[in-house]
Amino acid sequence: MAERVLTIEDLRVSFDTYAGEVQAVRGVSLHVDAGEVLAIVGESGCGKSVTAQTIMKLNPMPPARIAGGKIQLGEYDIVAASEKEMQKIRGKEVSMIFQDPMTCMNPTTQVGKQVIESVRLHTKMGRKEAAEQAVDHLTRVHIPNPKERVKQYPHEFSGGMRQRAMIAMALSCKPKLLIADEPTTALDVTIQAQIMQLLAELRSQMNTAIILITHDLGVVAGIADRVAVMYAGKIVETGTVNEIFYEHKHPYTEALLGSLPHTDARKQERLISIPGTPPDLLNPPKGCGFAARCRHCMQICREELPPAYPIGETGHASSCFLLHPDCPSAEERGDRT
Amino acid sequence: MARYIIKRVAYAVLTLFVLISLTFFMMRMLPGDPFLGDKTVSATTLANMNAKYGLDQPVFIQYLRYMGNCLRGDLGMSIVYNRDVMGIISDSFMVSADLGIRALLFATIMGILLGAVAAVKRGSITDSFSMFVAMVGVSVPSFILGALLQYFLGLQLRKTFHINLFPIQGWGSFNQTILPAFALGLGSLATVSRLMRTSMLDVLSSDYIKTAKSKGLSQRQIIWRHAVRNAIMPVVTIMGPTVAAVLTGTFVIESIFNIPGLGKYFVISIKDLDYTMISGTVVFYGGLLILCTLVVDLLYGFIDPRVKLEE
Repeated sequence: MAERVLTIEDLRVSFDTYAGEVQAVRGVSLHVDAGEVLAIVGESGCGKSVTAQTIMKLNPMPPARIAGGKIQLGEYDIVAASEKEMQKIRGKEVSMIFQDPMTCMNPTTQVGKQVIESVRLHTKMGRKEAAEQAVDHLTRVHIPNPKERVKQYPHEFSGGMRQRAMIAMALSCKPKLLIADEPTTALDVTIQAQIMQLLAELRSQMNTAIILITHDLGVVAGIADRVAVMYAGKIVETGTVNEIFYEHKHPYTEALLGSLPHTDARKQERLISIPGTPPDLLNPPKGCGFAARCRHCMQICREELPPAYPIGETGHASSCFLLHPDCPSAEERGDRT
Repeated sequence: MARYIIKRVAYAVLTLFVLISLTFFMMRMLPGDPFLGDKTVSATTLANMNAKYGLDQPVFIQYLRYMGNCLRGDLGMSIVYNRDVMGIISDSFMVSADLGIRALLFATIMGILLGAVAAVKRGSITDSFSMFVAMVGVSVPSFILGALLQYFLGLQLRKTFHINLFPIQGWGSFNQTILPAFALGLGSLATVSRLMRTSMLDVLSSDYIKTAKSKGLSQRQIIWRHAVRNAIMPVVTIMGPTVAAVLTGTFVIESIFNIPGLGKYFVISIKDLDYTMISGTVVFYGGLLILCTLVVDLLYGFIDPRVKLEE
């Protein structure tokens, strides 16, 4: 069995705003093993980025606050770690790449310097050796002419190249975990494929675990081993890629996959969307967050939080009362269709 | 780069030409003449004096002659001081430059520091304090500030506490430079610090600062390595106007603190209608300002690699 890199148990993150406490993450539990790719999917505002940033404590605190739970990264207890300890962990044990490579690099510093900055920080490497290493790092992410490229500035790079450089930067200290927060959202489709391929390649080379945050299910199908579907600050269903795509049990997962456009669709066919909007996390609902938009919603869904029901032995689980052994059948419930 | 500089210098010469011409004709439109003093001078003396300085010629001929002299680097003789204008400028400008550079250094260094600290510690007492200083600096004109400083720090401090730290006038010792440099620089300090604060807040919320944090850099390293250099750009942009503000500020401050600088000569020469002195100082200040703007533009390209100076 592979080494466990990250365990999150019942993580709760809140933002204290003038309007009140916004419960962005409401009890998330997940784990990632070495060399594994876990995809966290969900629509905007479901708490997937907040979860990821909390692993590195990148959210400014305040207003953000860890309201409860545990994050265990290797030997480190992240929730208890001080800012000084976090500085040693960030970039070395866990690193991150972001959505928009156009704005994520310092425009006035040479790319090579930025790529090697965390190595110099964590290993006290000399200037000359660092400069040589920067070239190696750019070579590894397939940037042509790395010797010239290290001396250039970000504005001389294309979007795809910058994301490659960001990946080189993030992996420069060989972290155990890489968090990719929508790494391809800002790139065009052909570049997206290249970047995902690069991530897959580096993952197998370096045995780095990856948490991939995305709302692009196509990307998920291509690279992920396991998937966690998030909705309204909670993981509603988790399982292997095949389980989520073909044997999903949660109505939200079903609706999410149902809203994917099909290549064989007729031209006039409208894209399917999920009616309604996610709940306001300033006043989160008492019951299941998806109840208001769910076709199968029952009385209990509005009153109680559904626990995670395990399905089989592979770790597939779904938080939905439909999986309760006493749940009536669809006919008895008289579902809306 | 070289082409860019040559082009800019050509523009500078053109600007100076227009500046000299405008000044020349405008001062000739003023009523009176340099010899209109309290002493009554005989008509013969007056005619001789006019002839000596070429003032008996038609204005247009005088203009051509002055232009010719300027091209040869000769700014003429001061009518009032009976001295070479170039000589007066080179003597007195050293004093003005000394004062100006002190004020400028005080304004930019303190302004950048105050602005940066205010942004980093946003909402704290430091923030409120530096923004209060900035507000005072923007709203109180330097001549009022100068007079207040003279009264409270110069006069009252000496009278009540017998501390004679800040002389209220004159030039020569270090203590004599404190009050005028402070009065001259505070306005610019205010502009710089407000600009720096806004720009710094902008930079601190940008994505690459998050990247830097995710690498494990400490707050201090993030600020010095990634934030300040990017945030300083707008400050560099306004350095041209800031230099101009300090230069023109010296006119007033030098008069208030009785400092024998070029600014004081400039003001007096207008009052006396010392034609050559007026145009000489105008040419000098104009050239200096144009030079400063050019230096600032070059500096811009040096700090931000995205700026290309070729076009």
